[in-house]
Amino acid sequence: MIRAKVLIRAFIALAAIGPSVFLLANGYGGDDGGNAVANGAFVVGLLLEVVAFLGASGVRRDFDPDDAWRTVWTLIAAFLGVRILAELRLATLLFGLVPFHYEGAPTWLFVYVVVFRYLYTVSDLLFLWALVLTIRSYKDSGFDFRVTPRDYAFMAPLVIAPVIAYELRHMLTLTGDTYLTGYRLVAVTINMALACLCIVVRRYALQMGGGAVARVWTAVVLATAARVASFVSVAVVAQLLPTGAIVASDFVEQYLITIFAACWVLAIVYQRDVRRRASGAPGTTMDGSLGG
Amino acid sequence: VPSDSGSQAVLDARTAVARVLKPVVGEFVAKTAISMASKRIGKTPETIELSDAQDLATALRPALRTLLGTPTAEALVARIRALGDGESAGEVTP
Repeated sequence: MIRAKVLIRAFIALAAIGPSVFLLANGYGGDDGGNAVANGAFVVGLLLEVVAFLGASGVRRDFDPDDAWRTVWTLIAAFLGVRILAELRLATLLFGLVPFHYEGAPTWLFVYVVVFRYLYTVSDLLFLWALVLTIRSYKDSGFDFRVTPRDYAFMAPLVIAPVIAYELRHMLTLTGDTYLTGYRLVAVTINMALACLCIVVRRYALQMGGGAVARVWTAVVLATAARVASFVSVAVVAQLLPTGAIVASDFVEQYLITIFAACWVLAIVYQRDVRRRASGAPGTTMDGSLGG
Repeated sequence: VPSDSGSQAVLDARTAVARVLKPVVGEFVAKTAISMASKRIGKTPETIELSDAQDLATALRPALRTLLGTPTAEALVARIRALGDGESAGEVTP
């Protein structure tokens, strides 16, 4: 059994040493060294996403077929599953198994590289749906969950973020890939919607006053924040580091995606803990049944 | 939770139910849930007793099902019902 606290410490340690390892590798090994660390972060993130997907698939089976929460967790499992497909596609590109798209490339390559990129968008829409159902379930419970003016104040800058992203669209990709710019504008818009919904969910979790359920959704909110930050980071790093920005930008993006995946693993562990606590068992643990 | 005085029994009933709910749904929801369920059975949180545990559990069930899903809600309902049978709410690590 692995305690959630041990898991959190391991994630924090990884998060703390990641940037140092990158700086060292980039300093001594140049772009190749930096790229190797960025790719390593990508692999760690992908493995964590697989663990989260297996866990979410198990969690959905914990609910009765007619439970709204089963639908929520089915959508979350689908979200993570489709993301894994998208990440595997990216892996084939990062590790040179499939070439990147180029002008005059065959149609299959265009579909594989450019169109399948929107698998991320499909997965985000599934998660958006899950969040809407979550909010509805909270509201339908009869408890007085409310969004405060402070939450709307947080949402306001998020809502204008897609406009800012459009204005800074030349910063959204450093490789001159116009298809990637278009995808990132779509992704920023959807992720801002996700972030706004997460602010609502986070408020409800706060209004619970602690407890295992609140921890689940706090971890989900943190995961979404890391995902949104991964998009913003591309433009920010490009502005801060004009030289060698591509490798730094790649690392920061993959680093934040790894944090995103780690938060999802934690959310699954906490969700398992809800059931455990409801039946009166002590402690927060993750056992071998994580995969369902 | 046994007690000698009536006021102690009332306090214990509310505390015992809260102790079951709090680790799962949090302090505020537990408080609101007890208040809502007490009203539904014609009492207040201050006047509920352990003998009301069966009715209280039944009154709590719909909201808990919506908030947590059926299996988790049923586990909590069963533990609250058990309070009425004189069983312990169970210690849960905070």
